[in-house]
Amino acid sequence: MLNTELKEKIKKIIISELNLFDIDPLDIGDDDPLFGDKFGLDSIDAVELVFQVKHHFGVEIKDMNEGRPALQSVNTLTAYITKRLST
Amino acid sequence: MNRVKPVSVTGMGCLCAAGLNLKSCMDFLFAGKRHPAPPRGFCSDQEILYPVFEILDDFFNPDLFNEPHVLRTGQLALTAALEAVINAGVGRKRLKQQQVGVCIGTNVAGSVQNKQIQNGSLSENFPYILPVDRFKVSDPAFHIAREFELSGPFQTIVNACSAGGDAIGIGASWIRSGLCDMVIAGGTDALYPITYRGFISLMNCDDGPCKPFDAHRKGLNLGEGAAIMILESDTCRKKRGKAPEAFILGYGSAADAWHFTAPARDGKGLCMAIEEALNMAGLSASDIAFINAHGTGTLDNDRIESQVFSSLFPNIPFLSTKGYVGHTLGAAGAIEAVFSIEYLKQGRIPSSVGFTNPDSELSACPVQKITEIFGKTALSDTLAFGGNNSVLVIGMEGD
Amino acid sequence: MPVIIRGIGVVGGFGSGINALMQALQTGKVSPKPMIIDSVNGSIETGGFPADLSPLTEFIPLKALRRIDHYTQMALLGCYLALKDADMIQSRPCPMGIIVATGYGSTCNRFDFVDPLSVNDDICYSPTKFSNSVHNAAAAHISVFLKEYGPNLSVNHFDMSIPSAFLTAFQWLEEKRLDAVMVGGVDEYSKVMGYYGHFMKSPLLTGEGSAFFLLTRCNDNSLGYGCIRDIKMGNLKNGNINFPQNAIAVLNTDGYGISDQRYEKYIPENVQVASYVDLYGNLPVGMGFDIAIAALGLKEKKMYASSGNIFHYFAPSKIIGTEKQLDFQEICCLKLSTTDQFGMVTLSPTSSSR
Repeated sequence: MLNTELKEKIKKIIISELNLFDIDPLDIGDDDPLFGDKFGLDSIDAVELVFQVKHHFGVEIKDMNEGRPALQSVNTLTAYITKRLST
Repeated sequence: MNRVKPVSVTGMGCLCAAGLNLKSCMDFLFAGKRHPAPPRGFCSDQEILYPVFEILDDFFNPDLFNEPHVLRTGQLALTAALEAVINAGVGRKRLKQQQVGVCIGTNVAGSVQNKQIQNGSLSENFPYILPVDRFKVSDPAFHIAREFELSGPFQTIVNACSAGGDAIGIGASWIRSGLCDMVIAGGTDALYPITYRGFISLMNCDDGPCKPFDAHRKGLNLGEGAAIMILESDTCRKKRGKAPEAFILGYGSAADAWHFTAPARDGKGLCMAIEEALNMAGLSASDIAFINAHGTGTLDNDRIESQVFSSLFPNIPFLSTKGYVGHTLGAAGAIEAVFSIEYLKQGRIPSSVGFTNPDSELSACPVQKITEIFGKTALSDTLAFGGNNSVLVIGMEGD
Repeated sequence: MPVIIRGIGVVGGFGSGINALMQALQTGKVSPKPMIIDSVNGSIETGGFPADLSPLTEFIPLKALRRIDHYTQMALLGCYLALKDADMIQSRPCPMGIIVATGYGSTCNRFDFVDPLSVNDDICYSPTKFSNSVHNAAAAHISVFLKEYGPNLSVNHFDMSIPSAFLTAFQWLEEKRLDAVMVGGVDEYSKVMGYYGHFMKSPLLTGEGSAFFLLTRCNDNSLGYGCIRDIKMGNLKNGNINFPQNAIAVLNTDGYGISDQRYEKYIPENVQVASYVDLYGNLPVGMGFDIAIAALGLKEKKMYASSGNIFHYFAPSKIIGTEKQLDFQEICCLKLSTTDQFGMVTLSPTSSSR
């Protein structure tokens, strides 16, 4: 999958699976902190994202020591998934 | 609330991974043993098999029961209830004649068992079991009321991890108010694949044996079991010449009102529940000989409890038993209350197994060896998923 | 000091709010809506009484509800409507206890109709869905939204959940543990029951909804709907239920077949009976709606004409078939469980002395 396609897919997953119905993919900047004030996400959203990453990409994040840096932004998540899929 | 009348405990029953009855559980705990292992009762396609505390022995004897056709959660409840009833020296005939209530805590009241139940034939019009039929095989309070032909009020509490403790607290209020002569109160929960996978998906589980309060703790291990107390009015037990085993002196509960899964960082709900329980018991923190903590082994839970204990109960010994039996969810509050009574009787508490490395962020640490206790009163607390905090004050002396 | 019903919040096929329930009582009819049920045997269309939750945004912004499922949303709406009815949204006795009763629980439809041959059943284990499947989820969310730190209880005992919950609420107030308790019940539309009712041509359609009550201890006779005088639970096998002699009976004849025939045996000769199940349908916490209707009856000093399937089981002279004026009468709501248990909640007018 191309990088841009992957980012787009990730944004759509974030919106649909976290039920952010008032947000458009265009509203999510690639470097926006996912767990800052902009989107109002919390710890349960973080584990939900971990679950959805496994569900949609087959990539398992083992614990939040690994998860925290990966889930910082769409860019970090894209890089993490890309790296895991290539190994 | 002001000080209330203590409620007698006249019988107890318990089974879990540590043993199939209360005595064998105690022997196991004081021997410092524990055997967490990957689940064997069901298959899991998880890549990592997180350890659990499963009852591997065939514990249920259907010949002992009039109504044995129940699912595993019910089997656990019935087995513990029968031990408690025998321990209390009260026969089935007397149970039928008295006003006896049932108050049981469980995690999902067996509803997660639906997925197994409904794997029936797909070719019929009704491959699905009706809700009332599901209830009849899965609700533990109903099973106990039906088994012993009881005539009093009944309640199944589904307060997640604090359900067992809440059931005992509420059952005690039924005795105090004169609603019941006796209450069969406690908690039960069996291990199920859905619960197992659900907690793993929450990233709340340790992939090794859990380490409550330890610096390297990573989460909980699930367990299964049941514990039942017979609560009895003084009038009723004196009439049949039964001395109490212990007393429920106080009960407190309060919500964190913070988040539907994470506990409040300041432990506000736990502090409120402790205050209520101590007020009901007419006691202060310094009267407490030891605390049976919830101590799940998760980062948040153990940090909050440690913080509250060091603030409210400085230098009072505490332990978690979840390193021995796992987190038994709806049964936990009841199992730990029953254990606390046994510890008071023996004048000692086992080590808080799994704890070896103090966490510099925690201001209080549990006991690392078998510890003698001085005093006749204990506190047992449970912190539930969803933010409910439940506290029991238990003692060897009533008025 | 009596335990008073200060506010009522109801949500069901009739609409939402006590006024919507009153209108349904006045017309005696609620039109069912079409319900599509997908099953392994194909889709069926049947009727039912679904709840409309759009009024919830009056109290909670839509964005804040993103993780709240239908079950909990019904409970939240019931609570907020009860608080609004009591004029206690902003200020109320503190702490307030919260008790949520449910028959099916929060997993009502979660595991039904899931193809057991499917290997991809991961959806069950989504952390958010799993967290919401724990039966105390509704009570937990209510405490978070209302910022209530008081005792929080969830009860799941099928069709005895409502009397069981009221029993604890009453006890908490009687023993002065609290000055206020929000107690109620919630159940989702059960697809299994809808499916079953469709093929069995059941006269009573499946419903869903919530009924919540704000109870306080209060000496002021001018406030609220009426008192909760007594709650009883027990086993039918032990004989008489001791139905209060001069009360009006509101019976939860919910169409679970055999249990409805038994009501006649337990109601005294002189007692008049009513049923309103056709206004909200078949659901285990339906007795909550009966308590709301009884409370409304005490406040209005009249009982509305029955609209339930009670006419098969009692002589016409015994049934409240037209509007009836009340004169300081008690109303007793009775539910006979399919498992030989019973629950009774007796309400009396506020001007009765205890």
